[in-house]
Amino acid sequence: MVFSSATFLFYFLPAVLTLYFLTPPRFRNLSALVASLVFFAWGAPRFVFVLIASCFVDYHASRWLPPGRLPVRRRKLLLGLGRALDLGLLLYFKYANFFVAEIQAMLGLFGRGPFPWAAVVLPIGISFFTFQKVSYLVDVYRGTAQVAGSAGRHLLYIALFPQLIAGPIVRYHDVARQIDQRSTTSGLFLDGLWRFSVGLAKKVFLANTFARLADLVFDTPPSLMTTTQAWAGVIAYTFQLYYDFAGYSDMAIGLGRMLGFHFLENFNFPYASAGIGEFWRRWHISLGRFMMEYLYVPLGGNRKGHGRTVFNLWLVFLVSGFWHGAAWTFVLWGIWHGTLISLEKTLGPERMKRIPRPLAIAGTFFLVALGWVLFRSGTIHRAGGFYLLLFNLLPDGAGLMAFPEIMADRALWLAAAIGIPCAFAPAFGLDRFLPRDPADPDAVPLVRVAGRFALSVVILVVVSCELCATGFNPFIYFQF
Amino acid sequence: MTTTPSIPRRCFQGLLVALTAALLLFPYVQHATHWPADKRLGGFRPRMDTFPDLTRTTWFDGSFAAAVDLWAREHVGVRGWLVALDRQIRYTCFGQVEPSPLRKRALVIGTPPILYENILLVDALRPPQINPEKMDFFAGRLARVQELLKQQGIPFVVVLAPNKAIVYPESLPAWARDRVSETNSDYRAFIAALAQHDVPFLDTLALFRELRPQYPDLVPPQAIHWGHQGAWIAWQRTIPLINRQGLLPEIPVPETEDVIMDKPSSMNQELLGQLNIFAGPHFRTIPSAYPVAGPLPAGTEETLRALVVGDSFGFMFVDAMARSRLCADVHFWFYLRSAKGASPASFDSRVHRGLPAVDGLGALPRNVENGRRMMEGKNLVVFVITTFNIDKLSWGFDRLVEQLYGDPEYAAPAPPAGFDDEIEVNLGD
Repeated sequence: MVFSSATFLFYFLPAVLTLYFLTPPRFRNLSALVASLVFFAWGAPRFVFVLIASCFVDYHASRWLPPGRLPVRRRKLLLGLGRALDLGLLLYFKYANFFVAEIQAMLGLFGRGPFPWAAVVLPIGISFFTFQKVSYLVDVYRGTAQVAGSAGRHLLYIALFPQLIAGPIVRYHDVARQIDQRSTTSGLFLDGLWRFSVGLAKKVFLANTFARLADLVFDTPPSLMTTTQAWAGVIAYTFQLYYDFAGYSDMAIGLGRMLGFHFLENFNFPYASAGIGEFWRRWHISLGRFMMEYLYVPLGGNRKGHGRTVFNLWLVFLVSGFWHGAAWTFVLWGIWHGTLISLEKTLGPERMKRIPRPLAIAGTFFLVALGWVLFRSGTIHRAGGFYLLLFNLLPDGAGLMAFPEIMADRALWLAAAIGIPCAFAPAFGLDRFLPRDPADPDAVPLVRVAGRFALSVVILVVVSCELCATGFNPFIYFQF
Repeated sequence: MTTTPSIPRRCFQGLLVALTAALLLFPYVQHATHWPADKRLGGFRPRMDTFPDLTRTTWFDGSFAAAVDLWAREHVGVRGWLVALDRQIRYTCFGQVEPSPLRKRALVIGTPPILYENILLVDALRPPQINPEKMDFFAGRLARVQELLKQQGIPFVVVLAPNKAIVYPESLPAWARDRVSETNSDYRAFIAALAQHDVPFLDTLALFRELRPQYPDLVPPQAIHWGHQGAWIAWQRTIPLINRQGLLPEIPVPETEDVIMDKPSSMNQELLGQLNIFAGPHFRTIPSAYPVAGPLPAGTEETLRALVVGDSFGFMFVDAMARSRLCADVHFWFYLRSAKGASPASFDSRVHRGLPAVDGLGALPRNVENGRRMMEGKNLVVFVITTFNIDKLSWGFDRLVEQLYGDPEYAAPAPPAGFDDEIEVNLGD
C-alpha cells in the first residue's frame, strides 16, 4: 500500500488511527501489529508468511546471541546462520532473476538456449526490512541491543507500517523503549500530522511535478532529444528523486509520531553538501549509518591504513549500489560514488576545505546529478547514450515534441521556484526560515500549532483532490 | 525533556485532533449517507460498480487489493467535489486544462481565447502513427464496406471532420503554433488511401481552410467541434457525393436561405462541462452562425433513411441532416456503442429557428443483431470521423458490415489497446 494512495488516505489511515486510539494502551502494540501486517499483505499477500516465519526464527535465534549466553564460537555460528537466512531471502527474492538472466546470456554466447525459469516476484520493502533484521541480530550479538521482549514485539519492530516499506532503517535499540512504553499526546499527534502533510506535499506537489519532465526525457531514446533537453531532464530527476524519497521519509516519521514512535531523520539537505562524504551523511542517513556500522567498520574501517580505507569505502558503495537494484546500472552507480568518495578521501579534508564552499556545493551537485543518470536509465547502453548527449558527443536529435509544452507549465516553474531553493537552503542561509521540528511538541506556541494544523488540512484536502483525480502514485524507492 | 501541557492547551489540541478525525472520516460518512450529495462528473464512468469480491484466491493473488485500490479511487465519498476542486486549482493557478478523471482528453486555450481539443492538437503535432500497409488495409476495408452496401443499394460516404488545430493554427499557444502541420498527422495518407481505393469521402480540413475567410463560424471559437455552419456546409457537400453513386434518386442540395445568429454561448459552457470545474474566466458570450435551410424544390420528399456512424462530430452532422428536411429517419450510432436519433428526423428551421433534439436511445453494443436493427430500412450510411480516430479502424464497423452482407464468419484484427477506455469516457458525457 502506498501512503499517497486513496486506499491509504481515505480508508486505511482513518481505520487504523480509530482502531489504535480506541484500543487500551496495553493492546496498542497488538493493534499496530495487525495494522502493519494488513498493510504489508496488501502488496505482498503471500510473502507475509515468509516475513512472519523469518522474524520468528530471528527472534528465537537472538535469544541465544547476547554476550555470555553461549560460547563465542556458537554465538558466531548462530549469528552467521541468522544473517545467512535474512540475506539469503534477500538474495533469492531480489537478485535471483538478475543472476539467472546473466547466466542465460552467458549460455547464449556458447550457443545454449535459455533454461526454464519462473520469474521471482520481489516482495515490497524487502531491502529495507532485511537490513533491520540484520542490524537487530548484530546489535544483540554485540550487546548494544537487548533481546526483544517477545516474538510479537520483534515482529512489530520489523513490520511497523510507517517504516516497513522504504525506511528509515531503524535500529532496534532506537525504538525498543518506545515499543514497550510510549506516550501518545495530542501535541505529538498534531506534530506528526504536520510532518506527514509536509511529506505528502513534497511527494505530490514537488516530486510529481518534476517527474513530468524527468519521465518525458528518460523515457525517450537519447538520440531523439537535444543536449539542453537531456540536461533539463537530469536536473528534474535529481529533484524528483530527492523530494520523492525525502517526502516518503517525512511521511514515515510523521505517521510514527502520530502513533507515538520517534524515528531518526533520514535527510538533511543533501544537495547543500560540499563533498561526496558530506552528501552521504545527509542523504538516506539511515542507510549510510547501516553501511558504516554493519559493513565499513567490520571490514576494518579506517584502522588499516589509507589503501585499505579507500578499498573499504569503495566496496561499501559497490554493495550499496547493488542493494538499490539488481541491475548493472546500480552497480556502476555504486562504483561511481565509491570512486568519488575514495578520491575525496585521498585528497584529504585540508585540500577539500581549500575549495570555496559554493564551488564545492555546485561541484558535488553536478557529480551527484551525473550519477542519477545511471540510477534512472535502466540499461548501461541507454545511460551511455545519455552521457554522450549530455556532453555534446552525440548530435542533437529532432527534439521532444512535448518538451515545450511541459516547459511552459507554470506548475513546473512554481515547483522549481520552491523546490530548488529549499533543497539548497543551508547553502544560502535559508534554512533558518524553514520550519524545524520541535524538541517538545507540547511546548510549541499555540499560534504555530494552529497555523500548522490549518496548513496540514489544506495540504491533505488538496492532495486528496489530486489523488482522486490522478490515481496511482508510487514512490521511487519502493522498487528497491 | 517534555512539559506537561496546561488544561486549556490540552483542550485546544484535543479539538484539533477531533477536527482531524472528522476530516479523515468525512468521506466514509458521505459515502454511507450520501450527504451532502456528491458532484456529478462529466465524462466519467466508474470502471467498477460493486465492491470487489474477497475470496482466498483473490486475496492471495493480489487481485483483490488491486481491485480495491481502483474501487477506492472511484467510489470514495465526495470524490466528485474533490476532482472538481483539483481541476479548478489546476485550471486557475496553472492554466492546466485536463477534464476527465482518466485524462483521456484535455483542452488547450489559445490566444485570443479559442478552445482546442488537445487530442486533436497532439494529432497535428505528432508524426504519422499508421504505417502504409495498415493504412492501405483500412482504406481497403472501407472500400469493401462501400462495395457491400452498394450491393444493397445503399450509398456510403466517409466524412473526415475538421481538426481545429490544423484549420485555425494561428491562435494556438506559442509552444505549438509553429509546429502544427497536417503532414504530422495521418490525415494526408488517409486521404490518399481513400482516393486510391475509390471510397467517396469529404475532406473538410481542406474545405474549411478554403472557406474560412468567408465563413467565420465553421468551428466557433468557444467550441471544440464544428458549429452549425460547419456541419451544414459539410452536409451540403456530402450530398453530391451520394448522388454521384447513382444508387438513389437525385437528392437536391438544400440552399441556405439565411444565416442568423444562434443563441450566444460562452467558452465557460464548454469548459465547465468538459473540465469538471466550478467557474471559468471566459464569461463573454459569443453568438455563432446558424444557417437556415431554404425551401426545397417542389415535389421533394423526405426519402432519406440515414445511419451516421462515428465520433462526437456526428452529433452536429445529424442535426444538419435533420434541418435539411430530406430525411425520414436519422440515426446516429455513436462509436457503435450507443444509439441516438434525431427527432423530428426532418426539421424545418425556417419555421422553428431552433434545433431538432438528438435523443439517446440507449446503449447499443456492436454486434450483428444490433447492426441489423440499425441498418433496417436504411438507404444511406455516412461515416464521420476525426483525424485522431483514423487508427481506430472504424471501431469495427467494417467487420459488422462484412458480417451482415458479406462473410458472416469474418473476423477483423483486434482494435488498438486502450480505445475502449476512451469510448467509455466519451460515452459518459
